[in-house]
This record gives sequence, structure tokens and C-alpha cells, in this order.
Amino acid sequence: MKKFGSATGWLLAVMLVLPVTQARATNKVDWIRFLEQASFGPTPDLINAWQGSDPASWLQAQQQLPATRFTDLLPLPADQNLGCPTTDPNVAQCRRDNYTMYPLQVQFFNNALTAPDQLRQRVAYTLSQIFVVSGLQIRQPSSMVPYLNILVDGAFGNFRDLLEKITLNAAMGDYLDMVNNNKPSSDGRIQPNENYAREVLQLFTLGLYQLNVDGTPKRGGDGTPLPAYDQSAIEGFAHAFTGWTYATQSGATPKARNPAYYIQPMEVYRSKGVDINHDKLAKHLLSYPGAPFEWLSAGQTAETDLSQALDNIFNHPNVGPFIGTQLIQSLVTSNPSRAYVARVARVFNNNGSGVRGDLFATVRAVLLDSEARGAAARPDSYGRLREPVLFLTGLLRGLEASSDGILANQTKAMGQDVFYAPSVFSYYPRPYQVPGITLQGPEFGIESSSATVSRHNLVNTLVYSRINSAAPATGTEISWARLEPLGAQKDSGPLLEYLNANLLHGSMPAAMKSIIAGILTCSMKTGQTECSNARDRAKTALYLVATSAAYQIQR
Amino acid sequence: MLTRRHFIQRTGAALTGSALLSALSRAGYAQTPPADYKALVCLFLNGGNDGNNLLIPLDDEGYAQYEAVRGSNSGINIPQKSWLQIKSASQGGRNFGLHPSLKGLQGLYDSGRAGLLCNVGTLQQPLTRDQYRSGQGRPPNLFSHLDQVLQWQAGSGGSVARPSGWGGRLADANGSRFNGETSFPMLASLSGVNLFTTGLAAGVIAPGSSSLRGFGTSAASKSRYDALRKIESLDVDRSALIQAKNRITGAAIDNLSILNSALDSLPALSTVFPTSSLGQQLQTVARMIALRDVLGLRRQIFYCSLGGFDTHANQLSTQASLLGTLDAALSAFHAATVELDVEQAVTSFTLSDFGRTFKPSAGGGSDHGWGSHHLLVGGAVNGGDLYGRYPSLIPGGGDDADSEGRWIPTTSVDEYGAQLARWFGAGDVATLFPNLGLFDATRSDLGFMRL
Repeated sequence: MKKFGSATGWLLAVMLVLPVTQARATNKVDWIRFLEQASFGPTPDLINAWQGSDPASWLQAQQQLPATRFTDLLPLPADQNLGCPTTDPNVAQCRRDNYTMYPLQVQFFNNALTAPDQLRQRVAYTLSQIFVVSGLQIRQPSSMVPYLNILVDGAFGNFRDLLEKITLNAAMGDYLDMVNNNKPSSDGRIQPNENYAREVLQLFTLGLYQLNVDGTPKRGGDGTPLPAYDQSAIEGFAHAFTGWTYATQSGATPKARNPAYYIQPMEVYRSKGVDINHDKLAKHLLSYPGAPFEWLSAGQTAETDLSQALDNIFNHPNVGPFIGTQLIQSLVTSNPSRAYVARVARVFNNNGSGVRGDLFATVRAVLLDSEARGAAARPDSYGRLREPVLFLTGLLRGLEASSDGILANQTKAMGQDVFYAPSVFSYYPRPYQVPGITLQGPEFGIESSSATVSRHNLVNTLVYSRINSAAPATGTEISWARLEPLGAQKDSGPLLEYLNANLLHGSMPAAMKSIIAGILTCSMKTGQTECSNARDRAKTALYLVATSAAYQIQR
Repeated sequence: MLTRRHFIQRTGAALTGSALLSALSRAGYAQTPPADYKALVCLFLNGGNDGNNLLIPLDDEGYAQYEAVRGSNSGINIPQKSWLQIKSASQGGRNFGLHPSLKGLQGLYDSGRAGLLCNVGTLQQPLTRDQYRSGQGRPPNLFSHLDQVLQWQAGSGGSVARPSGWGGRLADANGSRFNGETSFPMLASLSGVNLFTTGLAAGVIAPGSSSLRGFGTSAASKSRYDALRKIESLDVDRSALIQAKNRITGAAIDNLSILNSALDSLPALSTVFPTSSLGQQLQTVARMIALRDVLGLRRQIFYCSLGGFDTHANQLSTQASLLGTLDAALSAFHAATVELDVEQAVTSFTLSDFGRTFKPSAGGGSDHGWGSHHLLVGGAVNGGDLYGRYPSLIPGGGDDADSEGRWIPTTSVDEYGAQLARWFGAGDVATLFPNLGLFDATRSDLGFMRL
């Protein structure tokens, strides 16, 4: 690639600094698109800030904001009959709050709707769909809090640190069976558990095939993609990850199999100073040019083996394009160009200061890329289906709803039960090809006929009613303060333009405008200048825009 | 010809529920009661069901092989006396044991209404241990959940041209032949989007949600409904994703409206189904079968699933509970087919990601394997016997891919599916399963169905 001379570099620097205000003034549409990608949805206030901000500055400001974390919860006995006895008059609420993900779902939606650190929350949510732990296995919400906070805290940190914290998290240890995974039995009949070893490679870091930096698979002479690892590597990692049990609770005596405890990371059990459950033989791991620790030496401790094994994974050339592609697909578009993936992967590989795995720099590269921003023409394949969570939060934020955060049943009906991912593949699998066309669309993987009609019915509830919660909770209700005055104007243009700008960043086709305008009949009493059916007109217009595929596909 | 969508567009009516259904009936969509009815019901056991604790030999030699690896200190031993005994004429008259949770299925087996197909799995071609060890002919990404699920559901080792499942292709090729001009889908998924019920052209309905809500009979309501459907047919930005979303939305609104109104007017079955998710899925299947005449369907293909079989740890209790759920739901479903007088016309069968390692893993579980045994239930099943070939339970032996007891399948998904497709009345099974010809033509009839 042609290198810029110093004069060009200087000119580039000037161009980056100087025309920014001009760019701000001319590109409100792109600002709104940016907010769709970088937050849980643009609010009118954020949209109105467009003349005083720009994507790069906003990202920098977001990086500085303190993290909104999940509140620590108290662990109760594993048996809910002990933790919430049937004699308790509030047994149902006790169980909901201590043995289901309910309190975390409420926090999640409240954070998504109102937390200032939107970018961190959005990235953490994406990471929760890569490093999956599910409430289907982990029963107590208190057990999930440390896992969720690793993601919130680590969203802008280094991938290597995140990988280690996730690997040692007790909920993950339980979910993918690294906890109490011991060396082979003396008779060789019981082998180390391969679950975490396989999924950390396939789903968290590498994927199945060796990748070029642009995310395309490397192919052998016969054209078939080359696998990124084989069964023997999985067995190597399975042996490397032996010897860990739950943390010893304060005051307790360490045991070879400590009782389940999720608040602290897993620890190595030692008897007389020796990590006796850890496999001490040498292990063969991933082999690739420049691979650190392709072999783990015999006799190392469980901690050393784990650290070196993670270094061996982290430095594999797949990690950048693999994680980069998923960040792009979660934030921007399901079908990025190869060049886009390559640009992002190179930033993952080196943030410009020689650091590999800088997640904030990687996210910034995803969001400031010309293919994300308005600079590049958007091909027919561009965009992504708003998954149920983002569909709902986008509407609620865009319409300035008041909400108690009790929303999990709404997204569940649309196929996404927050923190209850059906499997380690999360709510929907990647990759996923949309039926009938040749494009990727992971979110289409849960778009059944039931889910899709549930989307329409959710809009119906929000527009024509409200989401009720049991008292004393207050439910969820959108605000008509901005829409109703627009609905009162005889000319439906301003109402449609407001919805077009705020929900569709100005992409509403003329035909759609005319269909909606055609049914917004204004009832006007004699002597009045405003429509008396203002709210109804606003409702009709909002229903039709929010149910449209033009809204549901973020583009 | 008049399709239902054209019908709706032509009348321009915001018809929902029973109004739409009766209008369709008047327009001739609900045909006279179909003769020659058949249905396939796929039960996917998500996570990889451990076949090695589903079905084991109980003769001395066989049980000794089991006990040598899965003995009482293995963490996943089921004691000899706990197994439910079944007989098999085809496996040299050996006695076998079914998992203790499968009491209902044992009864169906004994009365000739259930059978098992042994050691079936994903294959691109017949494969020996030597070929496997030399790297020949291996299906890609063995032991990976997602890939093996897709290969099971796609058939032919996943090497089909475009992503589609064999249920979907079966509907593509036979939809109009059996179901005429009705546009109500042959395919129904009771468990969300999946590859099995994905065709290249055929639609699929996922029952569950209510019909489109919020529309009444007022003029304003009618015009808003019309606007909704018109916007749905707009070509926005020429975006392929928007078009795809609109296709899904349009079919969903139409089909759910028809189905829900039909279900609303259907009397309850007297068969009582379990409250488990699978029980409820199968209850809806039974009710949709009961509606076959109303919907104008001579053939139906259903997809249900039960998850949680990825038993890397705590396998004994987890699998016992899951198979108990399966047994109760399948038993009720079979009873419902008797009640509906379609016992001979409905065949249920299991699929799963893979079997599991015969050797136990740390934590009282087992790891991802390969070939496994699968259940078939229905009056058209040649029940009371085992089909295919049961593997010799020797780690590192001739049936093992490595040393952990990952059985190399001796019957392919293609052969399994092809046999079901033949019974279903598919015209051309070789097109459905492009790799089928690579398997021994002499065993094209695996014998487990009454053809």
C-alpha cells in the first residue's frame, strides 16, 4: 500500500481537524445512523446534539464515562426450597428475584434505556452473545453478576484480559464444564472434559477455519477450507485446563471439589502445595507461524498452563478477523466487505501503539469505518435485522418512553429471552444465511412466523396501549409529547418527516409516505385550525413506520 | 391461478380469523377431505443425546463391554437390572436394554409401533476406521454442535448447494403434488427457525403467537390494515434484507391468521398431553393434524425439539429427566394419533447433533461423539426391532473413530431420511439426498418402515 509522505500526512491531519464542524452541519442523517449502531437507539435529545458532536468525539467521551455495572446480589442456598421456603408469604417474588434472571433482565433493560455509557453497554451486550453463559444452566442471578460485570468492565479493555477473566469465571466454569475438570483418571478411563476447550476455540476466538485477515477462509489445494484446529489440539487444551475448582469461601477449608460458589473466580486445588488435579504432562496446542507455547512443558502448574494456553490462542491470526466480523455484524451490517473486516482486524492486531487486542480501538474502527459511516455507498446487501432487544429499545428510546425495565417477556415473545440463551451459540447462530437469498443475516435465525407477528403485536401494544406491570411497578409507556402536536397539523408532512428522521434516518421511500399520508384523515371542527384526532393520526403513522421492514432492518 | 395472497389483495379486505378462513373455504381453498394422508414428525434432541446410555446390549458379552468402560465407578453407569429389556430379531436375537426412563416407548416397541435405527450419523460416503484414520472422506467439522446439527438437518454431509433441510426439500418437491393449490405451508416448526424445515421455496409456519392484533371492523382499521400490507410489498432501497423481512412478515400474518382461527374452533382432544415444552409442541402438532382437512393438506412435516442433551457433566440425572420428558410426550402423541385415527399415517423420529463418547469425561458426563441410535414411532414403523448395525462397544476398536468410543456411523443420515421420504411418498429421493447414491444400493431399504 502506498504510504503517505509527511506533507500528505500533515494535510490529512489538517483535513481531519478542520472540516469537522462543516461535516457536523451537513450530516445529521449519518449522525442518527451512527447512534443506531453505537447505542441502544437514538433518543431525540441525542439526535438534537448532532450540531455539537461527531462520532469520533462521542466515542472518546463514551470511553471516559464510568461503567454502569450490575448490582451484586447475595447468593442463596442452591435449593430454592431453603432459600425461599414455601412458608414465606412472598415466596413467588422471592424465587423470581433470587432464582431467575428477572432482576438482571430489569437492570439490563434499564441500563439499555437510560445508562449514559451506551456504547459500553451495547458492546458488553454483544460480548454476552459471544462469550455465552445461560440462565438455563446458571439458576441464581447472583451467580451471573460477576460474569456480566466482566463484560461491562472489559468492553473497552484488552481481549487477552477479558479472555482470562471469562475463562476463570465460575459461571462459565459451570456452564462449559471447566470447573472440577481434572486430569485423566489413573486407569485412563475418564478423560478431561473437552467442552470449554472446544468452545473457547470455535466460538470465542478462532472459529472453525483458518482465516485471512479479511475474514475469508484459507483454502487447501483442493479448495476446501483449512480447519483452524484438530481434535488433538482440543484434547491438548482440555488437559491444560484441568485442576480448577470453585473458589473457597471465606472461612471454609479448600477441598478438591469445592461447593459451587460463583462470586469469586475459580481457583486451583492444592494438596500440600501441589495442584494434584492438574495434568502434568506436556501438551500440544495450536501450531501456526510465530505461535507462542505451541507446546506446554511438562510439570507446569495449572496457572502457568492456563496462562500460556490463552497466549497461544490469543496470538492466533484468526482472532482479529473472527472477533472483528462479529462486532461489525452486531453493530453495523451482516454482510461487511472483506476490506472492512480487514481494516478492523488490523486494528485488533495493532491499535497503532503496538498493542494487540485493544477492544476500544477495535470498536472505534468498526464504527468510524467508511463502510459504517455515510461516506460509502450502501449496497443492496447492507444492514442488519434489528434483533428483538434492539428493536424494542430503539423504539422506546426513540419515543422517549417511561419504563420500569420489566420488558423481558416482550423480547421473549419475539424469540430473544435475555440471559436465557438456548445454547452456547447464543440466541441465534452465526453464520446464518437468510432463506431464499444468498446473504448472511444472523438475526433472521430467530425470525419465525410467530416471532415476526409478535413484533407487530408489540408495536400495537406500545402504540395503542401500554405494557403493564404488576403494581407497584409502573409499566412502560411511550410519550406523545412530541408526536401529538405534529398530529394536530392538517398537513401530515411534519409528522411523517419527524418519524422518518428519528426512526428511519430519512430513508422512508416516497411511496411509503404517500400510503401513510393517504389515510391520515384530519377531523377538524368548524372554526378550529387543528385536527381534533391528533393522537389517532400520530398513532396510525407510528404504527405503520414502526412495523415497516424499513425500520426493522437497520441500514 | 388465484393464490390466497391475490385473494386478499383482490378483496382488499382486512380479514382476520374466522372471516378469512370461511372466505377461503368459499373460494375453494379448503378442499374435500384428503385421502392418503401422511405426516412426518421430526423430534430434534438438541445437544447430542448419548446413544450409549439409550440402548445397550444385555447379553453377557455386550454388557461386559459396556461395564468395562461405563462401570459403576465411571460416573455414568446404569446398573444392569435397571435397563428395560427389549428383544431384537435382527441383531442375532440379542437382548437389548432401553434407558430406564423409556417405559412408554418400551410398550410401543413391544407392540410393534416403535423401533430403533442403530449407529446412524453424518456421512458423506461409507467410511471405515482405516479410511477415517487416514483422513479420507470425513464429514467436515465433526464433533462441533452447530455444524453437526446442520449436517443432520441438511443431509448429504451438508454438501447441498444452498442451505436447505431435507424436510424443506421434501416439501419443495412434493408440495403441489400432494397439497394442491393451498398456500398453507406443508412445513410447520414448533421450535422456531431451523434448517430441517427450510426449503428453497416452500414456506414454513411457526405456530405459537397470537394472530395480528389491533385491527377491528371500522373503516379506519381497515384502511390501516391495507396500508400495512401495501408497505410490506414496497421495494425499499432495493434492500435484499428488507425484501426478505417483508416476505417473512407477509406469510406469517396470513398463515397465523388462518391457523389460529382454525385452532380456535377445533374441539379439544381427549388425549392429555404433558405440560412440558415438548408435550405442548406435540399437542399442537396433533391439533394441526386434526385440522388437515380444514387446511387442505394431504401431507404435513413437523419439527419439534427438546434441548439439554449436551451432558458433559451430571449426565445420569440430566439424561434420565430428558428421556422421561421425551417418553411422556411421545406416548401421549402416539395416543393422540390413535384418537385421531391416523396412527398408520404419522411417523415420529428423532435426530440429534451426534452421539457421545463411550468413555466418560470428568464430571460424570461424556464428550461429543458421532454415530448414535434413533427412535422411530408410529403405526407404519416396522416396530419391535432394531435396524442398522449395533456397534461393538470397544474403544479403539473397528467401530471407533479414535480411542474414546466415537462410533463411525454405519448408516448415514441420507439413508435414514431417504427411507422416511419414500414412505412419505417422495417421487425422487436421489435428488433430495445428493449423496445417497454413494451408499450401498442393496441396503436402500433399511426395513424400518412398512412401505
